[in-house]
Parts: sequence; structure tokens; C-alpha cells
Amino acid sequence: MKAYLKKYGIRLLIVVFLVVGILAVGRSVRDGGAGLLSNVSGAIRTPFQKVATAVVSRMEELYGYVYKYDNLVQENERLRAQLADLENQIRANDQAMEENARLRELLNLQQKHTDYTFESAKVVSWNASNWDSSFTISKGSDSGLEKGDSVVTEYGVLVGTITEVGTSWSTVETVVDLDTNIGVLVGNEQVSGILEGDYTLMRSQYMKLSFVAETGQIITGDIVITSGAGGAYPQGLILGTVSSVHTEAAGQVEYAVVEPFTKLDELTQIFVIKDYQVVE
Amino acid sequence: MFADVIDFKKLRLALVYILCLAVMMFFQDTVFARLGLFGVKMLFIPAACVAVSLFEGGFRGGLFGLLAGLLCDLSFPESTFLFTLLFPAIGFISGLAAEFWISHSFTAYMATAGFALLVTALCQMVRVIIVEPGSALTCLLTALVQTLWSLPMAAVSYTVIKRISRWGNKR
Repeated sequence: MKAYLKKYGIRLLIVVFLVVGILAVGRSVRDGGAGLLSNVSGAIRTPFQKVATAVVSRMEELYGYVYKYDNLVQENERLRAQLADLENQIRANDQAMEENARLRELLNLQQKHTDYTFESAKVVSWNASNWDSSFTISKGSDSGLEKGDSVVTEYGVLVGTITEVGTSWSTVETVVDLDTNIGVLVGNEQVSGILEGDYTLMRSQYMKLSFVAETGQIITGDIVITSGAGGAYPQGLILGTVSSVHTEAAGQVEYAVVEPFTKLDELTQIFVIKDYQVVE
Repeated sequence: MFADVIDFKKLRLALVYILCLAVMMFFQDTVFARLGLFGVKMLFIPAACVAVSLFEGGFRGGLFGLLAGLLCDLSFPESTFLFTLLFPAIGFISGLAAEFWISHSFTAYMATAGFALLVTALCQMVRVIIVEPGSALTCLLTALVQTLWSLPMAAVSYTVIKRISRWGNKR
């Protein structure tokens, strides 16, 4: 053993010292630069290191992704909820602005007709039948509505009459319905007549003006308003304009077609006249 | 105790039919009340009565028609008892026809349903004709368009009710 240690031990020590000596000299000579061995080992190591680094960083990203995913999902949900809230607010603001405009117009109407008591309501749905023209509104007897009450727009245009009242809903038969029968005055001359529903005209949202006073003369464009006769409707509510006049051979008015002042299909909010002063 | 008295299988089937009718009425009164062909809206509930009669027989079809008629009369302000009387009759007669004269095929159903839809539209128009005889032509046209426009949903009703019937009678 002694012989072995002497033989190889001394050789090993010499080699180690040599290498250390060379390295020490080389380090002192290159002054911070990489040596040959370092370069070779670096050249071999670097690609592996790059791959390893890439894998590790990917793993880190993945870990971070997994770790943060829940937070991101929660944040996303929170933001979505915020967005939905904001969208709802915008919609509500738009609706409030529209309603505000309608109420301003109603205020003007109320100033003109101080005797009217209004109740605002929304149009809930239109009747699915092809054989009448009616819709359901969002107020009923709980709000003091009664059968026969007149229904108007914010501009004071008569759109119909309440025909059925529930506790929280009512059915409104529109002015173009077959059962309509309203005493009216037409044009500047205030020619009296009867506004009736006509099935054929109802299909295209028009009304028929009949029983026009013999002495009167009506022309296209004349405005038709309620006469208030009989007290069924308040006086002076606008109904529509005369769109065509049909005369008999003798020149007397047989009937006229009246176009409603308001597009009935587009109604969203209406006002029910609960009370008014009957003009004798 | 009640398990012996009540036939839960029939009860479940009846409840499913009621639910189906409720859904149909909902669509009839909301979506289809806005969807018109030349301004004419559909009324496909009578076709559903025919379908139920075809698969469940005249009696059950009549009962379905009765319920459907009641709901339609509540929904359509112009009629008070028209549908409550008409739909059970449609249901029962369709069931009778299916029992003796017509097959349960889709074609036979569509023909029967088309006839039922036309009869309904004609009955609806009677009131208008009485009030205003001059509008007969417009009324007839409206009745025809209403019938034709209701046919696509009649076809859908057939499929739905056939599935319900198979499901109900299979178990």
C-alpha cells in the first residue's frame, strides 16, 4: 500500500498542483476574461442551460398562471358585473330621460287642463288577436283606474279607452278598434261627426269618420278632436288628422279616413285620465 | 295510501301537458303577438288540441282543449266563451276522427290541424262580420293568412306533443 500511495499519490499531487498552478497563472493573466476550458464548458453547458431555463421559466409561468388564475377569474367576474351594472345604469338613464321628456310634456298638458287627474302606466303587452286592437297596461283598480277611463299620450292624444280592469292591470281598447264610437269635432269649422272603428281600416291602423254634419266641410289635413258630448270622453283631446275624404255623388261627405296622431304600435307609456270636469 | 288512489303516471303526463300548454300560451301571447305575416298574427293553439287528440284520444284532447280554450278566452279580450266552447269540440272531434277515419301520420295531422285553424279563424271573424258586414272580404283574407301563418307552429306542436305522448306512454 505504501508503494501504491507513493507511486500514484505523489503523481496525483503533482498533477493537481500543476493544474491549480496553471489555472492560477491563467486567471491572473486573462484579467477577468473566460479561459479556454471555461469557454468549452460554457459552450457545452449553455444550450442545456437555456433549455433548462426555458423549461423552468415556463414552469414558473405555469405555476404563476395556475396560482393567479383564480384571482383573474374572480377579477374578470367582478369586472363583468361592473360592466353589466354600468350598462344597466346607462339603459336606466336613457329610460329615465325618455320618461322625463314625456312627463314634461304631460306637465304642459296638465297646466292646460287643470281638471284632469292623470295616472301614468306602461304598456305591458299587445293583444295577440287579429280581430280587435287592444293592449294591456301595468295599472289597474289598485291605482284607481276604472272601466271607461280615457287613455292618452303625453301630448294629450287619445289612444283608447279602458275596457277591463284588474287589480294591477287593465285592458285598453285602442281608438282604431271596431267598437270605437266617439263624438268628434273636425277642423277649424268644428264640424261634428262620429269617429267609428272599421275592421278594414283597423288592419292598417286608421279610423272612419262618419255622420259628418251636412252643413260642414272637411278637407284632408283637418285635425279631429273629441267633442266631449255625452261626457264619455274629455273635450278637446286630439285623435288624428283627416287623411282622405270620400264624398257621395251629390258632393256630400260620405265618410273620411282619419289617421291617428300617434303610432299606436310604438306606445310604451300612456297616461290614464282618471277624473275630469265634464263640459255641459 | 294515496299511492293506491292516484295514478301518478297519468298525473305526471297531465302535468307535462299543462306545462306544455303554458309554454305555448306564453309564446302565443308574447313573441308571436309581435310577429305578423302581412300584419296578421298566428293562433296555433287549436293545432295543439288536434295533436293531443291524435295521440291521447278524443277525451283527453277535449280536456286539453277545454283548458286551452279557457286560457285563450282570458287572453283575447274580444271573446268571452268562444274558445272555451270551440277548442274542446276541436279536440274531441279530432280524436274521434283519429280513432276511426284518419291516421296518426304527420300529413293527416297537418290536414286536420289546418282545418281546425281555419274553423277557429272563421269563428273569430263572425263577430266582426255581424258588426260590419262590409268587411267580409278583409275578414276572409285575414282568416286565411292567420290559418297559413299558424301552420309552421302547428308542425312544431305536433313534434313536441308526439314526444310527450311517447314519453308518457312508454313508462
